[in-house]
Amino acid sequence: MAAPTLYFLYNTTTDDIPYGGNGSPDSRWKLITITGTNPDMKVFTGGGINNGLPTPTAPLNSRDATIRPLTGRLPIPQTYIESPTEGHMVNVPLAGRTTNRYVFAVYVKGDITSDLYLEAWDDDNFNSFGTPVLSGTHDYPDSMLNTIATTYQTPIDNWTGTTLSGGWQTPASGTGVCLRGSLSRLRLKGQDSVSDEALYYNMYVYLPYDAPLFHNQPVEAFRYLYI
Amino acid sequence: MTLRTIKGKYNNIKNVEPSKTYFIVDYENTSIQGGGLDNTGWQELPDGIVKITYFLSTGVVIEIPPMFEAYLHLVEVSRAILDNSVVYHYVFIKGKLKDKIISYRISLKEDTLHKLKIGDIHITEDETPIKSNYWKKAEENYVRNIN
Repeated sequence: MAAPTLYFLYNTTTDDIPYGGNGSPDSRWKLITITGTNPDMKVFTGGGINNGLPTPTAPLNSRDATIRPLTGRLPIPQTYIESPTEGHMVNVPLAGRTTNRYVFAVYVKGDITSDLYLEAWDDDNFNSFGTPVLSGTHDYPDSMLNTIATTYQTPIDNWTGTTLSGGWQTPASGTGVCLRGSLSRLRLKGQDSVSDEALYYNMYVYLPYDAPLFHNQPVEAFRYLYI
Repeated sequence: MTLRTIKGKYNNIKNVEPSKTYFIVDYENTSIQGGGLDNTGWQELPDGIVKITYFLSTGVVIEIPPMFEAYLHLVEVSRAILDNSVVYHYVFIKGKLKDKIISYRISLKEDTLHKLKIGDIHITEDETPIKSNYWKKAEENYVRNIN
């Protein structure tokens, strides 16, 4: 059997509607380009002195460095896919700490003989998570990368993740998780079989007041089994 | 010996070359060679397995003892969303006995952070059945009555 093909998609509209294709982009969903020497990048930005970047698109390499909150934590307000292929950054308006369900999708073409696990690592060695965004801070020692599986249900408003010390959350739990390597990860289906279907999740970065100044580029990765 | 080296900020991984890592399954009158890790060919194998031998691109050869009622083959990978990098973690060969499953986990990677080397085998026993449509039955004459 051939290894399955994974297509990574994002909803460019405010329509909270599922993806209906089988790996190709459509009028709402664009593909995250992952091949070539200059692949797309997911950018969390806004909440800075520019009061955010323009939407629905912004020039390549635009950033509005987020100002840390005085207390507590701040969800970084804007999410973009920076796409050299598109020639600009494309806003993902539904991403964030809201009740939006159809935000990011993975379409699995072929068969996976396990669940599809979403993990975050420092780099594509997939074996360390020491950067600030994944290790957290003194007062908030959680990974800042909050995510929730929305394949079966809408998340509650103001959802947050928890950092697990060896485990996962499933779509059925309705609970978010703070991604940290394989210790704290997300199952996108909750079953050990995925075939020719789309699975969904939402994601945001929760920035603590005591975070250091950082610009991290962790790797968002999917782990699975096939025959 | 063929290896892929994947450079990270904190560590470098050595990974097998996927196109040169494959199984050969022996039957009573023939043998079938699988494809590489990206196109293993396990689904198309017939029942009646006598023996499975795994060949890694590093030259390591691993023979699975021919004593099980059925066999299952799985590959564990991680794929990064934004740069399409892939790490092949393990191949699992699972062998079914009457009341349990023996799992051979073959490492396909090594790095400077962990002791595991390419070709290391970790054998575990599992009493929980694994449901899969891809179990391949062994040739009856080669099944040992072991529990």
